[in-house]
Amino acid sequence: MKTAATQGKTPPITGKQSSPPFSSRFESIGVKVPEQRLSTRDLMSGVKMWGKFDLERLTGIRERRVCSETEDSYVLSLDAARDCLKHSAYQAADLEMIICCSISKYKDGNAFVFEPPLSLYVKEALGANNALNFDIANACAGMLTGVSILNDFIRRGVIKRGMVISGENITSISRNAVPRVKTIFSDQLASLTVGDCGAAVILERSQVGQAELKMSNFITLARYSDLCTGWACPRAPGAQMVTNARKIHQVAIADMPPILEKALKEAGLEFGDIDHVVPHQTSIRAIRSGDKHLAHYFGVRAKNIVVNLQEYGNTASTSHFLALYRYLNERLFRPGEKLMFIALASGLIIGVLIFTMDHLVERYGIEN
Amino acid sequence: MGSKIEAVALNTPGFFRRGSIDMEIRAAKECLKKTRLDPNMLGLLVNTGVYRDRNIGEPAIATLIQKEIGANEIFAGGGSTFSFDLTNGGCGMLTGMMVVDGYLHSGDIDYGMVVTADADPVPGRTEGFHFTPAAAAILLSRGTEGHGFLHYRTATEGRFIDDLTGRIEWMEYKGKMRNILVVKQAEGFAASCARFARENLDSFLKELSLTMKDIDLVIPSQSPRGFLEELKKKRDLELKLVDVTDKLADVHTAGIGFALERAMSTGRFAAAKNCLFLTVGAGLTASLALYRNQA
Repeated sequence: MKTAATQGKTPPITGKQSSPPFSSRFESIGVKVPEQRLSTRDLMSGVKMWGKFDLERLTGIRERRVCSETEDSYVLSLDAARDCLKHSAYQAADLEMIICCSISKYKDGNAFVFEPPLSLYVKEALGANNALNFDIANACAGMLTGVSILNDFIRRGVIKRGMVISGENITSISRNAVPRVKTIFSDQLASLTVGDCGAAVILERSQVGQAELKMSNFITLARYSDLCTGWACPRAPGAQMVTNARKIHQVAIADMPPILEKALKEAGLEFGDIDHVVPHQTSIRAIRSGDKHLAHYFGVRAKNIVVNLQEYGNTASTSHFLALYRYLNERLFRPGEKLMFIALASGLIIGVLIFTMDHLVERYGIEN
Repeated sequence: MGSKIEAVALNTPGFFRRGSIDMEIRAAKECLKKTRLDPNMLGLLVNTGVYRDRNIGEPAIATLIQKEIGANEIFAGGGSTFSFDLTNGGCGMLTGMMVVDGYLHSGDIDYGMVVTADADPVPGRTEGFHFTPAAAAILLSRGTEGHGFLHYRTATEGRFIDDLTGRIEWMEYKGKMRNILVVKQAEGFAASCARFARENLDSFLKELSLTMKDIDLVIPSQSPRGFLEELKKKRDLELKLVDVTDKLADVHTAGIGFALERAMSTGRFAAAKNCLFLTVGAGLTASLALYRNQA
């Protein structure tokens, strides 16, 4: 434990910027997935449902990773942060901000931490002595919300770099749903699709010639805020979640296209300019349905939809960065390609992040 | 240019028990009412409460508040509101204001609100929960050059990281295994908070080339219990501190809201040129901000 006081201060604000003077880019991505795998077949063997039901066929999820007894949100966040630093040009002491964004904040196994913030434990373990830290929570849009906040500090010139982290130890909602799910109409059915994962990303001030993040305004359609709710389970360790997945999908299908259109317009782009669309990884059927509706709305089909839920399931706030990390390591991106992250989360949150792939690709792959 | 405080509103349970979310909704509505602001003008809504009803983890509590105050509940192609939760213990409300201040400064939003509340999440299933149920909401807008929130400082001291903890633990409780919220506070935590706050206050003033003589008012955290008494031992500070513990002790994240409301209602805030916000929380964390009023 550190004995010296650590500080992260912001310099004085000097005047309104009609257009913030800087922009930010992804400098490094890190991920931690638990070793332990749980197949959908094994998970469903404990579910006693009426009639035939094939979760794998419905969702496309073949398996997911599950935390061992020694892993929790803190461990996943910390390991992902260390992996991120391994791929980065920076040391922990260079970080000026750390934002922890996971829905689950488990430490020491089953203890859900409310205070002090989990980001402080990670900051201390990393030795990021100069970082201002705090936690945020915004369901599955958590990491993208953290990126939005960090991006705001960087583009105003308040800081030059920081890290957004998340450790989703959420498979307790699957465990707790198993005895409850009896039909395909169960409000805990979506709980069976989740997987555990940690992710971290470093944002830095973008230099001339480097890529820039284009954040659209993230939007909360609060009328639908009660369509998915998770809380501490009264009967078992961990949490439980109830979801009206059908209604969420309906709202997303109706409201997402105009929100994307607005974001594209602000970025000066057409939908056809996007090379890779990275949606929130819920189920293959929902992603395909969304793809069709976007194609109909924009008159052009997405060039590529990044999907990796077959092996990992829905990893909540980490899902976009897990998909990005995997594609980077498989060398499936090229510099100059345009990516669009689409957030869809309880709340109901819809948000868009657009960026151009740059030399970030050089840090990942087999030889790295 | 820093963001300007438009209004502050408070809520407490009164005769009937009221949960944290209900208190926050009432405080947020009152805040909007005081300024006659159309809720659809809110660009950002941040909830910074730590202890919430039923220990809800999803969705963000802020989205539930947004719905009830009627701020851009649906997408109609025009304005929109973005909501999320932020936690930083007893410093959360000030950290939330710093984040909202940034979005105002960037020009992304015209109004932002920070709402906070703490209440016993599941009465009968908690151990050591000692905070008074209370909520506060603060509405911010873009200020003018040289006024509003101008400077921030946050520091942490890892030696005391476990001196105040709030966790849900799976444990035996009344003969059954349960998820129980356990709040633990070490003896001497208030004194550690006061010492760390004083150290950072000195550093902050030095950074800004100011002395305590330049500070007219201090809006401090109202917990942990004993913190203000310890803080008052610092010379030149006692008369400038706003202390509401005579009416309500152990208010957690909403403490600075209560102090601000007292200072506003008594005219002390309007009469002060330089106001210092001074918060402490688990971690140990101290957050400070300088707010300059327009003459």
